Amino acid sequence: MKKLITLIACFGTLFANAQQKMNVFYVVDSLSGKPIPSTTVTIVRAKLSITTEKDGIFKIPGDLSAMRDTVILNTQTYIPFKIPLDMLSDMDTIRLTRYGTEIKNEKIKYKDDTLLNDYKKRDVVHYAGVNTETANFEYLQLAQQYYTNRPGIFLKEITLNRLAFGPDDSDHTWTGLVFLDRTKFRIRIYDIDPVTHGPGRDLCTRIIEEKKSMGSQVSVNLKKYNIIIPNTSFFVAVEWLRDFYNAGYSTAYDSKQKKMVRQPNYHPAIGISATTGERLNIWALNFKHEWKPYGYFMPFGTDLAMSAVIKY
Amino acid sequence: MIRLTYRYILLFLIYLLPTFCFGQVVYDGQVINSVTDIAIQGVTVTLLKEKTGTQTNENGYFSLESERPAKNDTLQFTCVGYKPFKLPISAYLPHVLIALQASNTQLNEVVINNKKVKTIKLGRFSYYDIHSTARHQVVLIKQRTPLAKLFTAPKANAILIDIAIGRMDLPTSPSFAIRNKFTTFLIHVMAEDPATGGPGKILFTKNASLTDNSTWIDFDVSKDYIVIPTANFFLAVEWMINPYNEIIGVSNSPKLDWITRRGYQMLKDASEYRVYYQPFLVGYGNEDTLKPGVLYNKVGNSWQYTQQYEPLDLALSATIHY
Repeated sequence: MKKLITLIACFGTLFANAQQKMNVFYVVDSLSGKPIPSTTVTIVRAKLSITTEKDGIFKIPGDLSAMRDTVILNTQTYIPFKIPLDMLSDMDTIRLTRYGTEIKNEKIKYKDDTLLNDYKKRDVVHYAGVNTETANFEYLQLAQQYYTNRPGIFLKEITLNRLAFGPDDSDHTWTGLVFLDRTKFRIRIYDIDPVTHGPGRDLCTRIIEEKKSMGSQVSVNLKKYNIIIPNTSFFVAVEWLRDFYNAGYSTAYDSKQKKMVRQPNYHPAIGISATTGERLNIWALNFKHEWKPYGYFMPFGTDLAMSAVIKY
Repeated sequence: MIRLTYRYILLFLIYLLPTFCFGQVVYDGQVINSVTDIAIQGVTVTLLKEKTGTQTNENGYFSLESERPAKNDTLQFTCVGYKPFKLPISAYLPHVLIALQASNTQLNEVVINNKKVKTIKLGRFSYYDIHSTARHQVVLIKQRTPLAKLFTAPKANAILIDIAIGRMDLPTSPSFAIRNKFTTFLIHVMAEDPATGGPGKILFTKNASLTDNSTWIDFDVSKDYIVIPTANFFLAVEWMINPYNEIIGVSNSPKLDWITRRGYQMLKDASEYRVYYQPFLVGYGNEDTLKPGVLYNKVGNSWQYTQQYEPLDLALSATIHY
């Protein structure tokens, strides 16, 4: 009996060790104290990123004080928050501060519409946003760069193509898997950064969030946001919400493990234009929150399947 | 129960949606000679009412976009030397195969032939073999490792003049949404390894690049003067694992677990994306001539005999002079 109790006690110790500590954090507005939904939380070296739900909560398992990594919290209209992971061990609430100024443009009357980066839906066959055998998709945003003849134009609408297996106008690719196509994502508009020539400051401080449950074409009317482009180049980005709603899997062959590996994947996958341009116009925001040119589909994939209507 | 019924009704209505859509339509297919099975280039394909048209390319492939599809329109196929053919669009099927008959006015062919040289097509398959019908069994062959097929010539030192390959047109199943027509891959002509009987030394490599949705592709290699030293030889297809050849499929993953503030949640019917690499080849067999091909798979650095696709054959043929 004594031996049996000792054995159980030993197993008990094992189980106690196996149970990881769960660290729970609340992301709140520094002024109002209200939770901030859809905040992207990225652990840089571990290459992990999730988006908080409506409650602004995220969890990290394990002993944080022993971890050597960096966490970046980022959400639109708030100043990004970067902190070593071990410093989070004494915290349970993270307060993000809003940017001070809201962009308000004066309303100007424009006359002529111009379509930038037009693409043919039927010709879109490649998609970014899925792990493949050659590379994992470890990005938070993908941006398309546009060029205009002059500064001061008005951004009216964008249309993008995303991967969908459900029905679409005049398309016969409908299937019974239509409910797998649901997605929500955010649209971000950026000015050109004078130093990196990549995406710079936000040109729209209001949140533009789109939901789509079927069909591959997504048009977003931007009129009400009154976005004026101050320079002759600008960026429109898709921001992934890495939350439960968008979650799925992508499975790819891992040559190191020599087997198929299944990993979480977040909708949507964004189409690559079939028209090859003279230069690469796609930029990606990586887990370190650095914008880099996205050359995965080069030399043929220079542009996203994302058109923009501007007004002069 | 009521919610479930509504869901089914909604899904049913969604399925009906394409029926009510009269947007742009693309008609595509291949045109061949009804006797020789050879693709005909330069066939004029016209939509009679809409008065738009196009011509077939070197693979006999056409793709015609209709801006205003009319229900009672007709596709007309005309070519010098062939009888015209009309196909009501109500009878059109995606990737249609049109076999044109030679007209009586066709000039008699003058054949100059060296009687000492014989031509034979090994592993012969027809256009009909690679399309699924009641009498044909067709499977999609999507691999990521090289696949080789054994051919036996009547004698050694034959000259390879043509390679034909059958390709699966998409979408073939609900899980593939897109038809990626562009692909590059390699075709190796290989001698038999005397030790293993499997594929050995590479004699010639063809860089294949496809830019349309043809399901039958001929590669003329007569100018490459490929002499095959042994009677047994192999043609191997090597897939190129790169973004250009990617095509995404989806399947229904049973569940996805998640822990939230409210506790444990389970998402049913999560999507599972998987990337495949073009080209998709065709395994075929019909009830009359069911004969499996002798196939080898490359595993690591060695070739291994595979019965993976039996009793079907791989739609890959070699035409030789001997």
